[in-house]
Amino acid sequence: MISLENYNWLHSVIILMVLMPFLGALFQALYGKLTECLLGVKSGRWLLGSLAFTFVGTSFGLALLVVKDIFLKHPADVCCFRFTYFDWINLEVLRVPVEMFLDPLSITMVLLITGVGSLIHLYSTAYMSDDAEYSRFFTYLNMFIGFMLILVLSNNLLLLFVGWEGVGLCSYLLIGFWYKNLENAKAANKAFIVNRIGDLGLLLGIFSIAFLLHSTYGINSAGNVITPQILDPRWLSYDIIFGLLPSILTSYPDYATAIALLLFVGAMGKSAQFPLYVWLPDAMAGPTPVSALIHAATMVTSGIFLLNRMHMVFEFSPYASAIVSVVGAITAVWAALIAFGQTDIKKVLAYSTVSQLGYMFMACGVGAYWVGMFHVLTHAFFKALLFLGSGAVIYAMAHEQDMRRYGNLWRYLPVTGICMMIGTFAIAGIPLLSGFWSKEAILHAAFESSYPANLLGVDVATLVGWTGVFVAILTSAYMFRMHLLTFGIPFVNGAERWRLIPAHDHHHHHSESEGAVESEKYDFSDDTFNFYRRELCSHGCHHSDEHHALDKNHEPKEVPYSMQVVLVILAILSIFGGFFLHQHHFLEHFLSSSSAVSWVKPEILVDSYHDNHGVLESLLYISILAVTIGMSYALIVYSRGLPEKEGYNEEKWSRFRLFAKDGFMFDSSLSRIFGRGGYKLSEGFWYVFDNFLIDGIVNMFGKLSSICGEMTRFFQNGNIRFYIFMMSLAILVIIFYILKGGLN
Amino acid sequence: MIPLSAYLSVSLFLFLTGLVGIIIRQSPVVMFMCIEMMLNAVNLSFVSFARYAPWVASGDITQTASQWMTGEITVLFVMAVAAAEVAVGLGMIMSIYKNEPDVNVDALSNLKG
Repeated sequence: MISLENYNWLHSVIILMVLMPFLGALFQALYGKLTECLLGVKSGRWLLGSLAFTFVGTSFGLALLVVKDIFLKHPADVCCFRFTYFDWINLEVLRVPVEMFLDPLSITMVLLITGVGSLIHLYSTAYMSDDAEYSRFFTYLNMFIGFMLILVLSNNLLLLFVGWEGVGLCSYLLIGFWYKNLENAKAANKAFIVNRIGDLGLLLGIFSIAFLLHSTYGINSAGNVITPQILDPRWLSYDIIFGLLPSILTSYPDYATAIALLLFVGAMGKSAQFPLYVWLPDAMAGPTPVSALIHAATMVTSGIFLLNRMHMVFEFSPYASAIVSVVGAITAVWAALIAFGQTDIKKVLAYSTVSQLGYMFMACGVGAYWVGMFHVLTHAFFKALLFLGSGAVIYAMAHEQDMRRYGNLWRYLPVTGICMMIGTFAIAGIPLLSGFWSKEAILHAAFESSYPANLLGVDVATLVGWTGVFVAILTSAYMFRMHLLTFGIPFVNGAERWRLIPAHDHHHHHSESEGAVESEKYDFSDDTFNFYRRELCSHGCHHSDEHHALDKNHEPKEVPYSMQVVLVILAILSIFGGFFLHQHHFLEHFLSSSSAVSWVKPEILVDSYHDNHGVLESLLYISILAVTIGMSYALIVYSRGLPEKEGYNEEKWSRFRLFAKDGFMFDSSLSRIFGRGGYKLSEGFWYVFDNFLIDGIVNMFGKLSSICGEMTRFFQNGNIRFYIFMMSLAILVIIFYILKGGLN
Repeated sequence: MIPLSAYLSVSLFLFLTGLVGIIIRQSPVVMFMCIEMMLNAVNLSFVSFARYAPWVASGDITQTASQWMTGEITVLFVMAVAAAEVAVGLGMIMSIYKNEPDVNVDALSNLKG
């Protein structure tokens, strides 16, 4: 670790880097409307947009400065800094300071977040320029960048959790940005609720680590009893955890598996892995830049970041690692298959994101953590590019998202088309583009994995490797399908497809596209408080002014230059990024040194044996073959325009495609089982507990007092003569009592 | 000489008659009469006790006049109070009778919950 003496400025630079986006969010939130009022909508928005971009860009500039002065001047393995700012929680046994941890892993993530983030901010200034709530959008977007920076830069698990929840909140707010549409609000809720499941796993993982540190700290390896007081109170910080965990986990391997799996559940939620992926496709309800930034490039990769950060735990548990890679492989195949049934361009990209995240987890599961990060980076480039490109297409096509209504856009949107093609090539893994390098690295890592990873007698790593090859075929097939349907040859009877939309079909499809408001689509049955209906008129009227629908005479227009610039930059990164990061194993060396404390690898990980040499030698040809197969399939099927089997009439669809369109019924079964099942369960609980037990007790007391009342009521009957009689009786009793000497 | 117990027996009989009457009759006027009867039963025992007090019986004139006359004076006092009470009570009965068709005590239960 290099001395911090010469780098006093780093301390303030890091906190400034984190605070910049928050300042931006604060400005947008407090003065956004005011600026629009003072300067007028057009120039006010210009100022707000540039400010939003500037704040994030400043963070990016500071990150570049740090890289230039620290990471390029010193070997990466000594570049680990800890900056303490102030105490957040200060108890006798637990101290949680606000600490930042700067190491190759976190600076990589910071560069990614602020870099791609500022590009997408730039893009959004144009994309959102017509939206009524411009400053609210940038408030959320800036706040997201800030929380993401907290997540990756924090030095302890609690602060990481703050960032983790913060990005979840921003994701929720941005998915439901057009909250007046009930569907969007529901999608936002779904994302938030599904993420809670993952967050519970992460919390339990953090609790288990805390529990393990405290309960096993009593006796050290030499047999000496150590009282917990000696434990540094900062024991949730990474430097303490990484210092203590190796010795503890060696003696308690089961705990390693448990903690690793719990942390993985957290990662599954955020990074949309198999059972918990259901929120991500629905999250496309948000504005397209949000899909690009949060639900493709940055936030969803925080699960990979968590695995990278805590990889020590996973390396102590081959079982957990095997499960991670298997779940990743299942997700990759599953989502890739579903993508074939989607007609919404953003849904295809969403499922491809889920699938690519599966790739990253495959890499982490077979022990190649840096490869996971490598794919995070390249994926961020090309997936942001693809999403922003699809945003440009949607923008040009009057908010139409159905690919069946695209076609021949190459002629109208040349820049977008070329950029999207580069993105498609990159994600499919065409050699020398960025996706190729990272995908190769993943497959390579899987086939040469040094993990024993025998789960139930199956050689998991090799299996995962072949799954990866299979998914590569699928990926290139569905991505070229998307590209050809959108930009490819369109002519059916000599006209573009959107010119042939049946007139009666014209109205009801809008409401599915983003942001459009059509009152007849709404289902207000859940709207008890009349919230949506009340606002509907103003919003609907507002939208109908600017909303231009697709029709015969529609001419798609290329997007503004500020959006094109972003597309071009991302396209360049998608071409050269992978090569640049991979040359001389730059990223591998950079990231492999990222853990703060070195430890002896446990022996269980060394003595494994895979006979994959043959595969490894021909891996390059295998993956090129895979890409070619997928590409040729797509070219053969889609080069003549929209096939009849995938047309507007869904009765002609093949059974597989219909099944894939519904996401293999997974989502609906989940809602049926957990939604309706939960409802029935609660109903049962309501009947047994509330109705019977609790109400019974309350009613019993009521009945009891009423019975007592009934009994005493007899004496209070309002009959005055009865009172007199009772009074006389009582007097008689008293007299007799006195006469018998009772008072003495 | 007639023993004290004879007077007290008559007094007790009168008192019980009044008590039973007040319990079983529903007309407020009759109940007033019963109350009067009970008051007079008590008056009878007062004067009896006054007459049979030891110092009266033995003619002990060392006692003060008030001790000689206490019982009788109390009786006069009770009669005066009873007269006043009847005046008030009958007034009340009259005003109830103006508002209600019947002055049955059992029917006057408006304040009952």
